[in-house]
Amino acid sequence: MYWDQATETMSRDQLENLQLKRMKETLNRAAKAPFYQSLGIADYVIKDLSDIQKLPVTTKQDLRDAYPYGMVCTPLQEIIRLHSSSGTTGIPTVVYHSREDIQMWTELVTRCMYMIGMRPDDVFQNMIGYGLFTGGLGLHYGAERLGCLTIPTGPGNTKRQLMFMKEFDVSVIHVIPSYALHLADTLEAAGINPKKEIPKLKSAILGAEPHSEETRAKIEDFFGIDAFNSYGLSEMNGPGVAFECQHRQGLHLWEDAFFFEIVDPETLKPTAPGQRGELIMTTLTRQAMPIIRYRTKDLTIRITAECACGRTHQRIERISGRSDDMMILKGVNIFPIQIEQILIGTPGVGRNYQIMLQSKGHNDHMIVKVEVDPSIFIGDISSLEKLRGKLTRELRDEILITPEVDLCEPGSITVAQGKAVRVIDNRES
Amino acid sequence: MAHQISLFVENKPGKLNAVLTSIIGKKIDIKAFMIASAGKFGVIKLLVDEPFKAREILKDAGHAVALEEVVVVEITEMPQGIQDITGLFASKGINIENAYGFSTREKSKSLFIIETKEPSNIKEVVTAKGFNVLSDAQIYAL
Repeated sequence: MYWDQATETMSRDQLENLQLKRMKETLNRAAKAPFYQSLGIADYVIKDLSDIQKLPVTTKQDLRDAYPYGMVCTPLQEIIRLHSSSGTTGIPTVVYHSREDIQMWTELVTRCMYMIGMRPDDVFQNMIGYGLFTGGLGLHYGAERLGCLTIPTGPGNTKRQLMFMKEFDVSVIHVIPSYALHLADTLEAAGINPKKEIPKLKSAILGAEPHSEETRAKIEDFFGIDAFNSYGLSEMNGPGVAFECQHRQGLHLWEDAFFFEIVDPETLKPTAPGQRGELIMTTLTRQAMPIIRYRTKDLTIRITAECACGRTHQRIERISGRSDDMMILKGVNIFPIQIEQILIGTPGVGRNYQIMLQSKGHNDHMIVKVEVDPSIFIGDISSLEKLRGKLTRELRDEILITPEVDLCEPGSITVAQGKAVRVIDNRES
Repeated sequence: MAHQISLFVENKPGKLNAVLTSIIGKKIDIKAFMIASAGKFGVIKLLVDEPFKAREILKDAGHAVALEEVVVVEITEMPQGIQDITGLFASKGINIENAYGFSTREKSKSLFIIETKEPSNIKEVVTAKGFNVLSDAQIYAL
């Protein structure tokens, strides 16, 4: 039932003592990183867990400002891997891992997979991106540690995915929810009933994209499986931070590896019990690059009630939104600023823009509306089409998905005074 | 040579009406127009009596507008005349970017409007074949 019973069912007292010990160790390690040195982290005294609230928070911008090595506290030869966010125009966010860090990350992922019922005789198809993105490699290592036959298909190529699922009697898939719905559509169109033709399939791990209970139910109904919600972010390794157990009443967040707070995004004060707030996390075991009080910008609620599964690690609710303007499309994190930089750098378009997100079938679709600059218009359609093509290519290179670019008349995109509404999200959740 | 106005517009109901209303209201006479559509946007081409004035009106209204020279050829014998023109362009290897035509009130007198990028002496090429190429002033007088 448990991969690591001692840790997973540790009493709250024991767990909090372990957290306090690890929090102190984390601060000692972090004090060696130039970024935390400059914040004077060594001067803070931690006597109990609530003392962490006295420490400054770390933001994504801090990670960028500290690029490339400002957050690293071990000699570089001890680092064996890095993962990085996308972003060709801006400075990427880079997270470094020592051998111990990779082992701990793998351990956490394995714990999650075991928790949802995966065992060595399972066949696991990993349909999530490999490479700099943490989703693919993170679960890949966990599945191998567990002893599953692991098929690293990565995303895309729907026909091949379905062929592998059938031929190798795949029992568990890891997939972005929107892609799972696309697979369902493809099967349905081909008249294939997965309950009959992929009879061994029993579970799906849904990650990298916020999704609703309705989406989960659709996937479960169509494939005849159980779907489990996976939460993670690259700054905190990637997947394996919080995961649903078989009771699926919130996601257990592994508190031996992370200390978490739920705060008001404006005041950064802890929210009242049961109140929604921004999730803030501190790594407790990270060696190469500890991060203190990282603002995830993800909004959730802490669940303190005991879980029927017997695990003592507290749960968080399904992520309900963001406290910033980040969008998640097809598992890719996108900030409006990335789009703005491309538009500003392209002659022929104005500064006003609007991003519309829509559901196209089960897929997310992005429309970027930009105004044509009157000074470049020479009367022909072909130069407008060239401009549109250029913008589409450059945006795709930056945000990794292909948006639809709409050229609009000058002055037609209304920008409200004050905080402009740049993103209109009309997606079905 | 005559001038034609090009106007960038989104492909939405009411757009053409708004453009026409804004210039007709300023006493601009529209002789002919055409719409070239490319999906969600398009370009409206206008042949008017006072192209420079019309351009300023549309510019002031915030439009992306351009003015370009076009060959406006008078054709008296239809349909033979139009075939003579297209035959001339074909034999010289001249590409037509856009073209449209209209009939005038005068009997057996039609105008054929041709947009082409090359050659620069297009007017000479056409008049050498005996065609009458109209200027802005001649269109104004129509």
